Amino acid sequence: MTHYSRRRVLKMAGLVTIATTAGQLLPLPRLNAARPDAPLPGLDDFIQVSRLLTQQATLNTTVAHALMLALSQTQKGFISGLAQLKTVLQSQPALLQQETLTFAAADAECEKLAKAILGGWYTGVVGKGNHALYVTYVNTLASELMSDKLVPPSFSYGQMGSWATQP
Amino acid sequence: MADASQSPVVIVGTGVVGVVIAEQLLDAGIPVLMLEAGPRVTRADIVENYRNLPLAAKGNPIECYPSREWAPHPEPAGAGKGYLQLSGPDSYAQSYVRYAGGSTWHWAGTCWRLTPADMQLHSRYGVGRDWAFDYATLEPYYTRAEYQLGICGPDDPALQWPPQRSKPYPMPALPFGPGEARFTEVVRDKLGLRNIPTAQARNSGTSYDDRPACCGNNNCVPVCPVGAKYDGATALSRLEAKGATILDNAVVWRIETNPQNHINAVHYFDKHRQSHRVSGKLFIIACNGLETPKLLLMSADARNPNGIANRSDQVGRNMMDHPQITMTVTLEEPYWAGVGPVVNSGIMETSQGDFRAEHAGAYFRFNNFARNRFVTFAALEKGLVGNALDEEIRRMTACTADIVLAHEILPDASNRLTLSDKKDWLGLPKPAIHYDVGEYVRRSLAVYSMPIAHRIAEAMGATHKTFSKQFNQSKHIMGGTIMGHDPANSVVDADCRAHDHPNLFLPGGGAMASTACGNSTLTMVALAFKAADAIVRQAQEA
Amino acid sequence: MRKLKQIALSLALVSGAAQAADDALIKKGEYLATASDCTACHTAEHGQPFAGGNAIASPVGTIIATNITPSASAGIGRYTEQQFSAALRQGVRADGARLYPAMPYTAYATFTDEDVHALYAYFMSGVKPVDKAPPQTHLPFPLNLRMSMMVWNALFLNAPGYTPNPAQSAGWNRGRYLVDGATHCSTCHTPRGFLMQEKQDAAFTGAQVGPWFAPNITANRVSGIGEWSQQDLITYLKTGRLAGKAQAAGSMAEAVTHSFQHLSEADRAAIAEYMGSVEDRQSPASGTSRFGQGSAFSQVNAFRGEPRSSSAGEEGARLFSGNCASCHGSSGQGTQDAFYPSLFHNSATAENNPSNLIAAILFGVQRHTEEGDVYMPPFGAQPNALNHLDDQQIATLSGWILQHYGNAEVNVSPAQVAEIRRGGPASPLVMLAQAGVGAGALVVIALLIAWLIRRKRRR
Repeated sequence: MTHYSRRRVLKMAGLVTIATTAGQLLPLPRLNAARPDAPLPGLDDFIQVSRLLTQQATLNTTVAHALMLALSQTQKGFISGLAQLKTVLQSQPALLQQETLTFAAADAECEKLAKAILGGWYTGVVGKGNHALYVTYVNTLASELMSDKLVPPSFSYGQMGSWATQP
Repeated sequence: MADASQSPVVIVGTGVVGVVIAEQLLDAGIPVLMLEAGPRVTRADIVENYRNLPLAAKGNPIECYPSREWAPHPEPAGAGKGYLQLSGPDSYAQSYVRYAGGSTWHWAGTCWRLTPADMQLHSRYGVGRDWAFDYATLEPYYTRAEYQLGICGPDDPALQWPPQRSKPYPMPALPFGPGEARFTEVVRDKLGLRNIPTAQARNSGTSYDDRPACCGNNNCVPVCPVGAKYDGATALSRLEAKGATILDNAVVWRIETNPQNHINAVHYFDKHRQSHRVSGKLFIIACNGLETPKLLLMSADARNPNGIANRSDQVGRNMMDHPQITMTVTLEEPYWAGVGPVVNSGIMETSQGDFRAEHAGAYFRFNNFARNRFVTFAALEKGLVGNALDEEIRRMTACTADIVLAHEILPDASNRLTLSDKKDWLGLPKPAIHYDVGEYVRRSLAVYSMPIAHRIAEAMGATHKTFSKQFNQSKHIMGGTIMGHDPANSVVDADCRAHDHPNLFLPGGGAMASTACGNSTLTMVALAFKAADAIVRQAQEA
Repeated sequence: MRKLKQIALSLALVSGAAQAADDALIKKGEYLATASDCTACHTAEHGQPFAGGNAIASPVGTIIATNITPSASAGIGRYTEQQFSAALRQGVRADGARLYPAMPYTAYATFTDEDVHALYAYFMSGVKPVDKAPPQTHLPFPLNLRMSMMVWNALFLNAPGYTPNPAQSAGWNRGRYLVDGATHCSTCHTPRGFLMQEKQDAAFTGAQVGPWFAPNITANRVSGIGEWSQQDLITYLKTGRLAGKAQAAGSMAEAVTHSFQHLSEADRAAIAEYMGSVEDRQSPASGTSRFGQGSAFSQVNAFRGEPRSSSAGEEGARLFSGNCASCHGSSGQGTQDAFYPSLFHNSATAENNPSNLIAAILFGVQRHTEEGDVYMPPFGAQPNALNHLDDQQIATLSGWILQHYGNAEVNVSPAQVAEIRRGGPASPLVMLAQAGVGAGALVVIALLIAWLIRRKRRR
């Protein structure tokens, strides 16, 4: 099997209860409090930054927890980078008004981190190649964006023929 | 180490051809021993393998089926990496599954029949080979194949391919998703082409064969999580309940002949590299169109210096597939591919015509795989963020589509499988394949299929289109043990019996004398039924 | 001549009318036979209608349903209406032998004479005769002594017929007539005593039926279906499911497929009206029902990304994800159209008795209604099992499902799974009856010896 690295991160987080978007019936994911074994410093900052970048009002806390742990494994100097990124985003709100994320040349590292965070939220994977860490399949933003029309592959849509009546 | 077989009939390979023949024999009261190179796995394992693949890797179906060292199959990494030694202007980078159940684990389930014309290329168009029999002879076997696998298809003869049928489809056709419905509309209204429902091995609304009905997992490739799509693995427990013995992780590496040049045993390696000998009266090699010729060549002995069943020197030659080009279009209106099964329709009429004297025919299919796993990366690559990113992903998921152009190919003796000098974990030679799709196909792309593709794109209102840079594999391996009347230029007869050895059968894609454009599995299964009838007669007379 | 013509015409009209009346009677009989679900036992799988041969597993052994087609040699072709009525309502065959109460004659005793007449007409004229007799039933001694049923009937069988309750509506009475009679609900849903008789004071409070558990269907809001509206029950009987609450499996799925969905809407409404009045005096007044328990939950993050071979914890979550989540959703929420049901807010995971959950996994669920085929594949040892799960795996999986989607108080052991796999708990009745007979025989022998000794002494 292609050796994507063992994803040990959520073992540290322990088993948590999450309520995901129940089918397509609830408009937003219900978030039950995540109770990791140890409180994760910087999680609030990470969620705040993620919210800014993804422009989603609410994000799944468990996925956030796992992403943060994964990013700290794959991105060098993640915590300080995160703080820097937060500063940049807060001081230059115009950055997020654009369509593409282009930072000033001086903030190139921040831009890379921002893209890694975005990639993690949208695809559920952090890192590249043999060192990629896999965080989630169903709860990616790419899946949730489409949840009114598509169900992630390998999950059933409904009774035979129900897909034909979609407008 | 000598292991006398309890069963007079030995079947090597538990793919769809092997399991179909096994069941025919068991129902006729003939016991069967089956040898499978790879492991038995559970469906839950494969489904979870799939879900564990990061988004990018999900596009490659073989990734959920990591091969075992003793039974490598081609894959990007792992035991099967670098398995196929390829040469020639075109790639023959096939993939298949060396597990119990075979490659139907990850097929799309498409079950086109050949048409009468497809079987007479030589007499009608002066190219290629004719089959050893006509469509009318094969038709009853097609019917049996359809009822065995559980095929759903349209009632209306105008939508059937071909309409010459003796019985209706076992189940009605699956409904189109919105993308397919729209595609059907535009190609009909603007181009006068019929996009017809694919005959497919999928339970449409009933629990045929005691398996659930399709519920739109859109995961057919690489695996149906619920067994609504037929795959060979669904037959295994039933075969055992009927008395079959199935040995997994048993890699047959040698076919042994006796002084009369009949087959009297096969030898297999277990996963500890121990060799075992299994004797029997009748042998069926159903390892797929690549592994079967490889095994025949490996088994060369003093009586058969060019390989078993190879007095014609055709074993491993005439390797064929359906060379395909994928057109990806970006559209203005949303099509929403991705609801329902992954391949549900196709334009088949473009595969037929007198032009086949000059160039290949082609069939066009609207791929119904959910797009978001493919488009998310592109959107991220563009550096988009926030709402712009969301909108781009959503737009591209709804407004992009893949149309595949699948061509037929002619048998060419220089498209050839031989044994390379590279060895696998068991010390067996890795296969080498030289492949050139040929002018017949290239000319089709230049003057026929590509122009039609452009017109289709225009009809769909495409704002942007890209094409594959080269011909890719459809994974329909055909021709390596080709069928014919003349033992001088064919390997098997009309019942897939080897010309050179009366108790050896080589059913499957390798026997096909022409490819036409449609997927080959149903034809392989029809050949399996035809061979099974001959095998049962032969076993009962013995 | 005219008079002859008139006579001929009258005769034709009369016989035409008689024919029409006959047809109507047969149709009425057919409807009653459907309501009684005769076919569930008397038609074998892939068999001819009503030709018998179905082997019914009972806690005391296998009982084989008879041929009730009008075949003179193999069925009931020679039965008079009296004999038909006696079999149906008193459990007595034409040859005088007793029937076992696997044939629910205790319920069918409720039928009125008119309805028996219609059923007789249907079975004599509306069913095709099949001249093949199924095998005989052989229960272990002493239960094979059918005359022992005479005593049982004397204790537990009601007199035939139905007396309406004038204080209740016509709908209520029709409902009671059907529930107590044709649809014989209590034969599954009422717990049985030691001698396998229905416990009248616990009517409809739930009972084990082989591997399945027929739940409490009284109007109690906690233990029964009291929180259902009448329309809910009507919908359930018609379609076999109620989204976000329950679905029918096992024998109830058969009953919906063959019987309930074919009843008139008025009859289903009548049943609902009657059931709405059935009380459960034993149950607690407060607590949560079995319909609102559990919530969406996913534990995939505990093992997503890990290869299958690694032994990450939470085997239950892994089993769920690989085997169940495809249809039932990654968080157990089911599909948008609820055709594949959610596992929380589902009585199958919230009962105190986990039989239904285990049996659904082992045997699957099959129903055919107007909506379409419902088919959940089995996960036992069957050739068509989607995956062969062993007792330990099913115990682990069930436990995980119960903990997160249903009643977290309930545990499942592998031994329980094995018992359900075997067909459910066995009854000690056979062993005890045999022991009883053995003990009785010993007593008789002992008395005989004592008598002989006394005789000897007197001499």
